[in-house]
Amino acid sequence: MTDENTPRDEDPGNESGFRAGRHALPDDAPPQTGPIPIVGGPPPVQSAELWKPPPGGRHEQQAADTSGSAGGWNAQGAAAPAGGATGAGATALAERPREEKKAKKARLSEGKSAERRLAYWLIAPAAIMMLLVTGYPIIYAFWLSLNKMSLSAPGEREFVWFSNYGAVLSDGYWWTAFSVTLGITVVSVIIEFVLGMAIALVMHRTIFGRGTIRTVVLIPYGIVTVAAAFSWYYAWTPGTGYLANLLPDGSAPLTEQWPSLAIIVLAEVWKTTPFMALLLLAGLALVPDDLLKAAQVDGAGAWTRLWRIILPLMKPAILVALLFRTLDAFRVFDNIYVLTRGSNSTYSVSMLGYDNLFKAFNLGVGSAISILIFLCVALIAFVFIKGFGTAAPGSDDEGR
Amino acid sequence: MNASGKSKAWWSIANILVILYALIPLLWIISLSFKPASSVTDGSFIPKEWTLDNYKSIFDTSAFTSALINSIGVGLITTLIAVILGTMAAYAVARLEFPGKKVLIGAALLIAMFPQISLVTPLFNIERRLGLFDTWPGLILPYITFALPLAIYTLSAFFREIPWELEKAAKMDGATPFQAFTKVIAPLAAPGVVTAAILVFIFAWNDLLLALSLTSTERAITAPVAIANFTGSSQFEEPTGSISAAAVVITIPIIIFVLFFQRRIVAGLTSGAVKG
Repeated sequence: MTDENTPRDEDPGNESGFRAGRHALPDDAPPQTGPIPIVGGPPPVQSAELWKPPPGGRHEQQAADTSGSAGGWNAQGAAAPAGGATGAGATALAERPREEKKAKKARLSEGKSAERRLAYWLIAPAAIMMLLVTGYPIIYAFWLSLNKMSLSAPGEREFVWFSNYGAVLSDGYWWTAFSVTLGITVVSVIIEFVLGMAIALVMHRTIFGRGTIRTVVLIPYGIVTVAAAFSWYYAWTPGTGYLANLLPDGSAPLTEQWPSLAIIVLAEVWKTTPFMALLLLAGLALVPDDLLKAAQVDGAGAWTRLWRIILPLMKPAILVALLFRTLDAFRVFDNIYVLTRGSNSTYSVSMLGYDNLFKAFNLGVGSAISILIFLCVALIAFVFIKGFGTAAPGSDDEGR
Repeated sequence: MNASGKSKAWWSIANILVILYALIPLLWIISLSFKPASSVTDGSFIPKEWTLDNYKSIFDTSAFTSALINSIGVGLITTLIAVILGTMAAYAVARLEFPGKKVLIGAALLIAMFPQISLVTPLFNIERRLGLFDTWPGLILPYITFALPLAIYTLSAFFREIPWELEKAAKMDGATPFQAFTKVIAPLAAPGVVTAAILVFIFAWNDLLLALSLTSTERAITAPVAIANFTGSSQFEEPTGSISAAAVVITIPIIIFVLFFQRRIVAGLTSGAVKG
């Protein structure tokens, strides 16, 4: 364990040390001053560094460290350590006589550094891909959002600082979209949770037909959202639909704001509750049966067992399910696009961003909306992850 | 005895309700797709007359056919690449020790939660400049990116369940870490790979927003976009039947797929959540 930890703990210190060293090398640290000023940083870091294997392997690894941890900031990462590492490593090796320990460390980290090198080769394509397609565009979007730019006047661009944000935030459209989105998110996630919990309990407890019901429940998940949205659209179209015909004559729910919103929530809930139910079912499987039986023997009713035992034990699964669904619901687009196209003030923030680009051709304002949505999502995620603590998905400390 | 019979009845009712819940909207769109133009607005749940005209009509023009081909092509290529890259990264995450692992996991989580609309404006602009707008690669690249977190989570969960000792044994026998990966771990992870592939394909097949924003002609328009933008102009006097038929065409293969791989999909969808 110590062997695994030591190199990792040193790295941040090392890295900055190297960088400082490299920049310092030409001017501030002429060769005659010896090795010590070359490597800035506290003594432990320095000596740890001296034990490292030959410069070749060391600097390669260092380069990989930097580029890997920063995603794909290769330009900086790959270039920085090259000179410094070699120089420092070489001088250091020549100076210090702690042969035994050095050799041991070197042998141990031979396999380690091979492992690391493999790891970086394996994650590099995915990391670079994710960075290029999300990291770069979001920065670019931020830049666009500071400019006055329109697709209808391609050549013209004016740097306007944050006035696009001012325009968006002082505009009624954004706040309508924001409240519509928030409303849809909150209402549909609550309904999904209650309904999903009920379905999860049915799936968990049912004795016969378990396979069938688990299979059937996946149907809404499998249906293309657009197809499902059309099913709801026609169901509520007066004359055509079986549901619209249940309403009093002359009512056209998709032409009014509140009924439209209710139908959007219905479509969202229908499509995504199974996903919620499956996540909750997985959490439910972790609740020990003995505990429930014991509680039952002690006279706890079904309701008490649910509130006092099942729900508390399922808390991690519940939080994950709620987080995923909340963020997903906040991006609602497909259902609205098909059901109302955003008419009668039923547009979500995603819909607003889309319309700003493809109807108003306004790149600057569209980008400002993009960034605002991104910030909203980041805020929601932050609040949830604070609630999670360490139980965030993918925190893989149980890995080994 | 009586009590258990009663509870059995309750559970059956609950089961039936769940089944109805899942099936009704699907059956409704299927029913609409078989109604002839004359009775499509009669509002009855079960068609009084049945016809295949709607299905014939959507394949009459190239609009839907080309969209279907685009969807299949883009979906398959996305799946292939995302699963390969995802497998590599997931192996590193599950099995190897390296600094920056937390950053990678965090980044993947961030992208899983990323609002796609935030990328639409910049991607639209970038792709127009690079000539990727309205092409397959222009869709495939963002799809892979958004599918990667899904693939990495699903696969790393599977990788973790493979016994460690096998890899150690392989290394003991002189295999390099790379050989241990390709010869020992990868074959054992095949079920996980299939699961990830299905989830990624469903994601790519289902997407509307990106396809709507990054395509404009039959060259790259995907099926959901074609359906969402079907109009009642020239060919169709009333697009209800055609849209329903097209919706059924793009839905049924996925449903069959999902039902067939039910167990794996459930395992894949929940793998990230229970680990916490």
